[in-house]
Amino acid sequence: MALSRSRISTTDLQRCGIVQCMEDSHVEGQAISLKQVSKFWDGEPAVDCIDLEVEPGTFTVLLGPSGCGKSTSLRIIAGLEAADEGQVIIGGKQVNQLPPAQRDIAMVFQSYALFPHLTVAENILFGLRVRRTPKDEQQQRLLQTANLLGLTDYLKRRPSQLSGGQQQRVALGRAIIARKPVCLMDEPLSNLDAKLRNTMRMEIRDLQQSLGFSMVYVTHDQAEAITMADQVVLMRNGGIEQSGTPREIYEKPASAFVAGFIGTPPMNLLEAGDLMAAVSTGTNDQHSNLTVGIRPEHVRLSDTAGVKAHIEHVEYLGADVLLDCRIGGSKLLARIEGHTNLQARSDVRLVWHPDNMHFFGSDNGVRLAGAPAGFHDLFTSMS
Amino acid sequence: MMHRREWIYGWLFLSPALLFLFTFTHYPAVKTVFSSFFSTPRGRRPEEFIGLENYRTLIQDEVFWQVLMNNFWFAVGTIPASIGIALAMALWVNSRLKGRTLSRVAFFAPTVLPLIAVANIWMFFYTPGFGLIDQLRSGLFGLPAGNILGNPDSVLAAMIVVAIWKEAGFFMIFYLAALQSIPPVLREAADVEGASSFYYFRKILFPLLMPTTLFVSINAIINSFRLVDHIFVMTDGGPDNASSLLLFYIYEVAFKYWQTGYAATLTVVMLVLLSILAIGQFFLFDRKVHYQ
Repeated sequence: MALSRSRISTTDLQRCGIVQCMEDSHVEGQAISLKQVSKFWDGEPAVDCIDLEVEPGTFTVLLGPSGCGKSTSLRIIAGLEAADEGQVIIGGKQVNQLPPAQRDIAMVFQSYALFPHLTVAENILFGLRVRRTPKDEQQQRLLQTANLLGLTDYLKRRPSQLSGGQQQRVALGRAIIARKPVCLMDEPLSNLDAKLRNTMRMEIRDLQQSLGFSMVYVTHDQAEAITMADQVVLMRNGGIEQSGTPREIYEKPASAFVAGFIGTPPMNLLEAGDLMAAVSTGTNDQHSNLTVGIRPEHVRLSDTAGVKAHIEHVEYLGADVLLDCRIGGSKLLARIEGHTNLQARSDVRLVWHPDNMHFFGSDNGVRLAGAPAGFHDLFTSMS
Repeated sequence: MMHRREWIYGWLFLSPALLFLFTFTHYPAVKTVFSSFFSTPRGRRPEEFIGLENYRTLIQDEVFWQVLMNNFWFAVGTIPASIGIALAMALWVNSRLKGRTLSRVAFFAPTVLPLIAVANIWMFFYTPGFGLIDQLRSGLFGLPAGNILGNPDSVLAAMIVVAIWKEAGFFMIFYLAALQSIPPVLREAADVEGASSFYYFRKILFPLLMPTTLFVSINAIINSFRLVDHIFVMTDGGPDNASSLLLFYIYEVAFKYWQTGYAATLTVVMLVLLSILAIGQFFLFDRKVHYQ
């Protein structure tokens, strides 16, 4: 990722021809904060009293399943929806009452919202023309933006004559040409194919870093969130489940929901009872209200000791093999590196480092601080 | 061989529609052009070829020129007004206002009514002395009763108002359908950039509605020649041909005076006029129309 990032910025600089290009377009990002913001649809909370802080010039991703309130939150920041309760603050100024145009934001929509009858150039220039920016400045900025996004050859075309990726770039161009300190994006990559999505991910991240604006980005794709964000805000049912750096979210999920949402494939969540039964002989009821999380990539095969598991499916991924196992009543996915000759419907023994285990309360899903007595020792002895 | 067979299938599929089109549209049109060069057959005297004689009559026919001018003013009066009002109503009922279903129904109602019924409603409005308009005139402004339909200066305007009232609701439906196909996110994108409602309308909405405007205006032109029912009911073309339109005049010449040859000539004029207008409009508009 680091490699491609530097590749894009240098080539873009060269394409620009002007070294100042980036510095010219550099903007001071602004802080955004939501304080106790709520939004109700017919009395039902769509956004339920959330607090959110976005540091200036950083990349924040609102992540969550559909219907979790992430898009509504973004639209509240944009001013396309009004918050029913709470404060929306951009750049230290409360903007609850301001229309979108006065909030000093740019926005990219999921469907791109390009004007179909206007050319690429007219689409990109739309905002500048609305605000009657002088003609020379319009042209200069248009060329810069088109250079930056590789759209120079397409300026006279209509959106319908462009591919999905190019349309996406036009939408980006319309957002960044005005050099607004805040840029909001609502699932901008969801209409692209997987390969293009990966490259656009990098480009958007690069753009944000080189231009310096604050970004709030909505997606339901956890891989997108983990790769792009400085801060991931994981939402569920209108509330914030956890917010933190991608590393924090991945390594210390605050709840079983977060654990089961992040990762490809996500963390395994097992009933502690099933696990204990598979390790030691004899049942153990003392952990019945406990859920144990272990990431598929942390599971290893063992010849002697470990958890007894039954392989139900073997999925060959090339570099890895994904084992779909059953342990008592729980399911577990294990991602095993290298080549194995394991067959479906056979038994194996699995081990993992005790530090890689996460513990959640079964009833509320909340993360527990440390391993309950017995667990740690048991797995230390195994590995 | 396969290609030949498909070609035959193609014509077979087209033939039922073509048969009706030829019998009831193309053949009569050609026959009309043909008839315009013949005299009207009467009793024992068969029709005979008279060349351009009917056209000479036409040029010297003062009523024809008056009717043509009437039709011109009728078109000028109805087309822009009905389209403009239709667009305004469509924008209004497309917005999120309370009772918009009711207003949609209300605006569309005149279209559902037969023009004969519409004419009768407006007859009541225009009735001298106790009609709605005269009552308002005398009640609010103390003006004396006037005979709107009996006055050659006001009768055509009165007909224009009826036609607009009838047509605007119909055109509104097309605009409404077009407006609903425009994604609301375009408005949001314009809002974020700070475009005013008027700017958005001028630069985005109106250009995107151009295909509808083209369709509606061609319909409006055709209707301005076609809609004559209310003239039968309200004025019978009078007074002094002041409210007579081309189609109404053709009807009179053909079925009242029974001069079918001359009526055919008038019909040719109307066909040519309509073709020129429709084709011209298509070429003029087409460059400005963006089809999605």
